[in-house]
Amino acid sequence: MSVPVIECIDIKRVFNPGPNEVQALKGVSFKIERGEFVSIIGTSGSGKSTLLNTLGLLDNPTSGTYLLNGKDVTKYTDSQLTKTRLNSFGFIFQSFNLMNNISCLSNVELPMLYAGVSVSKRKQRALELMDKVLIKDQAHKRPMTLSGGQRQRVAIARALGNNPDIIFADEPTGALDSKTTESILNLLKELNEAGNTIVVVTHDMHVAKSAKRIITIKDGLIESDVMNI
Amino acid sequence: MIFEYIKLSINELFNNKLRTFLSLIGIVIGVAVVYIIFSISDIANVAITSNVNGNNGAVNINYLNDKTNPDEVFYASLSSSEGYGSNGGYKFNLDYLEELKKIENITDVLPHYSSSQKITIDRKMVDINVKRNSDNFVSFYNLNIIYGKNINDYPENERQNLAVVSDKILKNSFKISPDKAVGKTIKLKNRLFTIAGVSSSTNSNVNTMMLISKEAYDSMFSRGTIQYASIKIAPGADIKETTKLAVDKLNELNGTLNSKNGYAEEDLSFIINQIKQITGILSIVMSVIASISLLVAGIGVMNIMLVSVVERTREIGVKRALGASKGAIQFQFIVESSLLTLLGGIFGVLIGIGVIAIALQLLKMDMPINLTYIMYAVVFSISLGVIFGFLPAKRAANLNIIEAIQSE
Repeated sequence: MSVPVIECIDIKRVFNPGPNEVQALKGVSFKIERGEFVSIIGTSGSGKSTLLNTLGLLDNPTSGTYLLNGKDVTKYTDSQLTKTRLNSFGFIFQSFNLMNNISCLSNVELPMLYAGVSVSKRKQRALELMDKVLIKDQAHKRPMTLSGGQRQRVAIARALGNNPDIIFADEPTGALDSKTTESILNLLKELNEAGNTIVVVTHDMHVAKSAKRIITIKDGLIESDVMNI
Repeated sequence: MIFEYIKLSINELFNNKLRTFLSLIGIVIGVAVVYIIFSISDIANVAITSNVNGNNGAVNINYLNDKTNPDEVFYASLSSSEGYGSNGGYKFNLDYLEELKKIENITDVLPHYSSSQKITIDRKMVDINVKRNSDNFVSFYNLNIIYGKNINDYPENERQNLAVVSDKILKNSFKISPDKAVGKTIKLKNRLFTIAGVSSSTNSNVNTMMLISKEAYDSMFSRGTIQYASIKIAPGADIKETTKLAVDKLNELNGTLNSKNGYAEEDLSFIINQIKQITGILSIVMSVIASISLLVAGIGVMNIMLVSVVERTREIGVKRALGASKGAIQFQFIVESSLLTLLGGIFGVLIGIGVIAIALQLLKMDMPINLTYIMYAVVFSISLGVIFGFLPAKRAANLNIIEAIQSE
């Protein structure tokens, strides 16, 4: 048995502890194996974003254990968390979050820059990745000049930079039209088939259905966890 | 790695050209003022020292009643440096002076025959220093005749009533433009002289004088009126050492080596120190003002950087999520503010160099650009950026990632 990439045991997250406290996560437990394509679906306020922030190590759970590749990361220091995000995770955001004052190529290079990859290797790999997501011809343009779908492809290339264990996508198609949504979802499927572990957070059942497994969150608890066949 | 950050920072600064420019102004002015202050005190020092210290390697030797008394040495030095004699004059022996020429590195010796007299031009009477045009006088001082001709350029029998006057005395005392002075008549002790030429010199020994031919001088004044002597020292030779040899030689010949009275070299260090003290105080006052302006400019930079952090909160959040460490974010902002202040420093120095170049042109002085000051300015402006960029950078690095990503 291989160690699961993610193992959550009774994760709780409480905001504003006290009389006005908000229990965003009330005890969530699940495992994600390497190579899975999981979507976490829930309405707004269900706790799915908090769960994503916790899984992406942007936020600390109030209690519970989070094992990443078998290692407890809840006690990590800030610099350990940063390093883990850098080397193990790739992030895709709803609003792309590309740096508009640098070229798309430089955007893709950014995580590799922080990882200390040399200039030539960085550029080569960034171009390879952009080729993979079919956006190489836009490499030297600024993100602002690209369409939404193209920008999300740049963001996906950026997420792949440091060869992450998991790719987290937060409403990756939220800002796209239905046709572009389809192509981005197909791209994510292709990446999954190529071996990448992908976790998509969404409120859109259509998007959720492109994953192999759907976890439904409601009121801070897992309502259902089903395989999508 | 650092070049990547510099590249990103340049990008950022260029994206906000107006803001960059505005925040630069303070630094530019501050650094320019500091550079100018330092250069001015340099110029003042050079000007004073060359003016007071008999330039071109010429040093005056005075005869004193008490050569061990620093006050007397100073006043005699001051007097002779202006071309006038001292109390103890008339004690120079031409044979002794001739002996000095044998000393190594002494290229020439000039006895200063001079007499303080009233002269009249166009009914205006002024006290002036009348000097004898000894054979080597013009060559000794490389005296520049800017209008007309030197007395010696005329045949010997026509020199009797000719005079050369310094441009400074014409301009300042007689209010006569030097180019209109040639041909005018000077009345000296009921004798009339014609201005043959106008001389110009930066050497204070000879820039307020009337020079007449040696024949005229000898017939009007005593031949024994040597007020002081000047020696000329070969370029590159040790001026102090050579002067001391000359003075000792004179004292030895005169038998005054160990007595109170005797010959002494000019010593104007007192006045130089006084003036240096004044310019020193001025520099301190100006530096304080400049420091305050730089402090204000630095706070301006800090303000700009804080605004920049707020504006780029989302960008910072995304970068942190992607795996940029706190250190990387902090470093990026410090590089940015340092680059900003460095740019200001460079412009400041350039403006400073320009202002000083114009000033030197007006003062007719020549001074090389001091590279140390440029280096100081560069290092200083970078550190200014590091210091005042630190707080905004720290704030950027410590932003809450989730809140930062969600900010607009």
